[in-house]
Amino acid sequence: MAEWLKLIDKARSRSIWMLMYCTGCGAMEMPPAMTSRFDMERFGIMPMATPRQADVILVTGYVTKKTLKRIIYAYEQMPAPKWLVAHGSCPINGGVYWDSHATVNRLDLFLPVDLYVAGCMPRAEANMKMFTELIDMVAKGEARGWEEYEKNKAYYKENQRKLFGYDLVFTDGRSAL
Amino acid sequence: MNTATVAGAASAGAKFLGALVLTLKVLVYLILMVAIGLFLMGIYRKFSARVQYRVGPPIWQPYIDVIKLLSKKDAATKNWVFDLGAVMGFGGPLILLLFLPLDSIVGLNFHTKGDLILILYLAVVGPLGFALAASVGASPWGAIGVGRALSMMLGYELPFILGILAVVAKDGTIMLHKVAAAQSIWNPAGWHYFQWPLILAAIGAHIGLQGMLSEKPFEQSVAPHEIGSGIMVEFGGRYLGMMLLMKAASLMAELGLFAIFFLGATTPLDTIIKIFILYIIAISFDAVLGRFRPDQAFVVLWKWPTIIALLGLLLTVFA
Repeated sequence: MAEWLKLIDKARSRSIWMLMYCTGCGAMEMPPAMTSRFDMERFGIMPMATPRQADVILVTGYVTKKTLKRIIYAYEQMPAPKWLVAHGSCPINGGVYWDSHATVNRLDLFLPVDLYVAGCMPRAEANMKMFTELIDMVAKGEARGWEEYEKNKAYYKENQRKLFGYDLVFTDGRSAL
Repeated sequence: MNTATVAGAASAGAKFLGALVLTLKVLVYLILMVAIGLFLMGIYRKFSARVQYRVGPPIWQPYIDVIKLLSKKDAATKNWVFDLGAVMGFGGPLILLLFLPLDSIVGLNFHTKGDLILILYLAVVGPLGFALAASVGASPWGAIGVGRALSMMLGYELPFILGILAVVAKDGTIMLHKVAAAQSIWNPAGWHYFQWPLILAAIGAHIGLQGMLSEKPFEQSVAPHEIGSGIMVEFGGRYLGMMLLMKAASLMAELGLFAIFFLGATTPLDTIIKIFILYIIAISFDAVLGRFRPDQAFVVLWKWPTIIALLGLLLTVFA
C-alpha cells in the first residue's frame, strides 16, 4: 500500500497542471518558462484553463481585497490534492504596494501557501527552480497545504471574515462575489 | 440425482464459464485499445513539442496524467445527470471499438456483426453523452462548448457520411468486414483511397475526419484560450481522467473506422499501423494550422469537403 501511494505521489509530481492567477506583472515571466528556451512541459507541467482541471494555482502579483475573493473561490473549486504558490514579493509581503489601501500584504493569512518565490519579478530561471522544488515536494508528499486548509479552516475563515466583513459562502454552491 | 440434471448443471456451468471468458476477453481488449490510444496522445504531445522546437514531455505522459487524475478527490458534488452523461460518453466509443476488426486480437469476432447504420448511431453516443454532462454544469462556457460541439458534429458528419456512402455504393454492402475484404491489405493500389473516383470521396471524408477528431483547424468545441476549454470546463479530477480515456478510445474508433472504409484495414496488425499513419497525418496538420471561427468552420466543412465527397459519390453511382 505504501509503495502504491508512493507511485501515485510520483505520478502527481510529474503531471502538475497549473492555473495562473495573473493579477499583476507575473504573467510576463510565464511564457519564457513555457516556450522552447526552458520548456516546462518536459516535466509534465501545463497551463490549464479552469480551476477544476488544475493542481497548482500560481498567484503572480499583488492581491487586492477584490481579487482575493476570486482567488479563494478558485482555490476552493480545485480538486484536492492542490497547491498554492505565492509568486513574487507582492503576495508575500506587499512588495511595492505595501502601503496601499486596497492590497492585502500577506496572502498566507487567508490561504495556505505551499511555496514562496521571492523577487520582483522572479525571472524564468527562478520559475524553473520553483517548479523543480515543487516537483520534489510533491514526490516526497511534503506539500500538504490543502490538508492544512481543511484542518485549520476556522482560522483561515476567521481571517477572511475580518478582512471582508462578512462570510464567503461556498458550501451551497452560491458565491459571495 | 439422475443423469439429465447432472448434464443440465454441467451445461449451465459451461455457459457461465463461457460468459466469464467472453467478459474477460472484452475487458482485456478494451484496456489494450485505450492503452494504445493513450500512447497515440503521447505521440501527439511529443510531436507538437518538436514542431515548436521544444523537448516536450516523455511519450508516456498521458499515462501519468490519467493516474494522477483518477487519484484525485472531487471538490464539488455533481448531480446524477452529470454522472450519467460522463458514463454514457465513456461507454459510446468503447462499444464502437468492439465492431472494429481489432477485436480478433483477443479472439473475438464482433466485427463481423457490425454494419454501417449501427456504427453511425454508436458514433454519436459518446459526444452526446459528454454534451449532456457539460450542459448540466453551471458554467456558461460549457453551454457554449456544447453548442459548438453539436453544430460541428453536423458539419463534419455530412462529408464523412457522403464519403462512406460512395464506398457503400461501390461495394454494394453495408457490412464493415465485407467492405474491408473488398480491398487489399498492404497494396495501396487496392485501397479505396487510391481508386478513381473514390479518391474524391476519400478526400472529402478525410477532411471530415479532422473535424471528427476535433484537431485544428476544427477545434472550436474545446478552444482553451477562448472559452475556457468549452465542454471540458466543468470536468475535473476523476471526470477529466474519464474524459482522457474516452478521448483515447474514440481516437482508436474513429481512425479505425476510416481505415476500414478507405485503407482496407482487416487484421489487428495492419489496422493499428494504419491508425498510426492516419493520426500522424492529422497531427501534422494540427501542429501548423490555426483555429477557424465556428461559423467559418461550419461553412468550410459544408462547402469544400462536402462538394468533393458529393462529386465522388455521384461519379461512383452514375459513371
